[in-house]
Amino acid sequence: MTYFSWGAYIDDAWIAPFEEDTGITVNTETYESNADAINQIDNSPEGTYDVWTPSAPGADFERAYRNDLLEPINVDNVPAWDDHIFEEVKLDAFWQEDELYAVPMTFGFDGAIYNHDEVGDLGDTISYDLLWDDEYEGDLTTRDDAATQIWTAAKYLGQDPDEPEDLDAIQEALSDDVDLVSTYWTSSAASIQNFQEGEATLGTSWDGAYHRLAAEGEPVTLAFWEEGTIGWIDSFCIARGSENTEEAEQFIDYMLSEVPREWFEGPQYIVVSDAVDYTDEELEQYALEDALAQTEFPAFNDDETIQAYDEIWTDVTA
Amino acid sequence: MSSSSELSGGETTAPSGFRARVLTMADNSRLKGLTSLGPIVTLLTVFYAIPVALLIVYSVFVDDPFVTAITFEHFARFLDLSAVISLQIGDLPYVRLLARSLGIAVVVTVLSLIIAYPITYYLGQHAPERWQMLLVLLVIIPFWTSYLIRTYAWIPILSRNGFINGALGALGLPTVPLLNTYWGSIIGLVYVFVPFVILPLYASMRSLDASLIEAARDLGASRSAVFREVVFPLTLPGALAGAVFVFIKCAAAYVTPALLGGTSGRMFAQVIETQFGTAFNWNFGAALSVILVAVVLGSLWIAMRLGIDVGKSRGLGGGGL
Repeated sequence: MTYFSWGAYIDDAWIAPFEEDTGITVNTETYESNADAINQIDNSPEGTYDVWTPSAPGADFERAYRNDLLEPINVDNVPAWDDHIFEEVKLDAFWQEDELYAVPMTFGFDGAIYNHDEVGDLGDTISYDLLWDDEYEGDLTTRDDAATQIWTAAKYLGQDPDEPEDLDAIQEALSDDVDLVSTYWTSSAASIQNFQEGEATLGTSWDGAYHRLAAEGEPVTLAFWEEGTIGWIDSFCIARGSENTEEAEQFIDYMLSEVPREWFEGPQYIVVSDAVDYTDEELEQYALEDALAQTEFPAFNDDETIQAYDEIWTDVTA
Repeated sequence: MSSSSELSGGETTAPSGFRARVLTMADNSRLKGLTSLGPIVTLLTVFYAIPVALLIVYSVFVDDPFVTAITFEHFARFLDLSAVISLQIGDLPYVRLLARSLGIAVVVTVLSLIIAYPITYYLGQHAPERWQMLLVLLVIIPFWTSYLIRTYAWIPILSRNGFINGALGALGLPTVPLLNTYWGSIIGLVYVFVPFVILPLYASMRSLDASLIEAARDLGASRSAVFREVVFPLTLPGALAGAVFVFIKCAAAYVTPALLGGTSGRMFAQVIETQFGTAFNWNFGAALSVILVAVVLGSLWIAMRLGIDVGKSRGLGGGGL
């Protein structure tokens, strides 16, 4: 079977034991973004991939489902669903027409990171206003993604981020912000690098990046955004036309029941399985319950909206 | 059997049968042409013609090629004629971005030439013969390392906590923002592309007759006059060949501006990538690619009209930059 995922979710140390125990050969391929994965699956012969890991629920999962890029998962073949996965993340959105299409694996969010040595203690909940504050001119970093930027600017302006009513105002706000931002990031590595190299002291970042920075002793603090924080769950899905669905389900179950501890210690995102056997300290540090309560999953954007957002973002950065 | 006996006997009689037919075919000029041209034609077709044709096809369909309607809306989105007519150039973000990319390409090309001239003048005219190959090798050595790694290497050099700003701080001087700036892109691109100017320019410098320089000096020309009247005109073909190549590659640069350019160094290729990725609009991405190719071809055409031998820049390699 072929496992198609983010590089951080692939490690021979986890996969080799599965191959030895089951005799199933796992080929691996990586992608750089959910969009890359969707394009790749959409333009490859059916059956090229078996397991893949889009963000679900949310826009990418919706797109994958609407474009018929998913196969239903037989939950009976994934005992980890009942035995290990946290109840809080068993969302209705994973089910479409009474069939399961996604099994949650990791949870994260686009939090706020700041260098507390440089900007002081801002607390654990801060406002998007800071991203538009002249005081931080040239010290900010945010994500280079049109939909995320529009969602953030809508929150800043008090609009509905899923159906913003005044895109002109959003564009103006983003144009004001571009002069304050040092750089935009496209990956966790770039986000980490911005703080390590002193290019940013405050900005949005995936929480996994924060945990890696903190582990390396960088003086950073993770916070939620007062107006609402974008959350995401990366989930196991089975790709369209898979001819190895049972093997794929076996693999998904293995990843969530046998190796979550090692897996959690790798990319440093919350693996939503109690098989990780989190320590009390870790539970406090990662605060899953609190994180879930404070995060929102952006709605699906149709093609027309994506184009409109892309045009705004290009205009802002051109 | 008859053929083998003829061979072993070494007789000079005319070959017959299958061998004769093979020899006749081998002598056929059409077959010779096919044999020699076939591989290169196949290569060009598969790796150049088909991808370019696909880009063009995607750029003129609303969505899926040959399933949806033909349209020029993607080109119109790039160049909104109403904005052009009303001279609202600010309303043309994709044109602005392309103009910025071309501007960066021009700056990088000029800086590369300025850096390459003294280096190649020394290499071609003054460096001891036995050292020349070694020195040229030093120019080529960076190519042994991945382009991506070489670009990443600039991050700890240019960043606020990096070597340059560390040195400035140690000297009590104020730090300067370099990484994630317009100049960050320029520095990275010049570093990458200077060798592509040095190599053809070095060839011109080597073939420059040193006695012409001596004669000019004997006739009283100053060093700057010698450069202006002798060295520069005679090495211009090599310089322009390198310059055209650098300009073309730079206009389509993606990795360097993405890693070093920040918000003010964004370039056209980054927007093209977005269309094929998060924007899920291959048709518009294809149209933008076609426009970029057209601009590049237009630049080549202008260069040739100006008498530049762009052929000399061929074979320099450096794809995927």
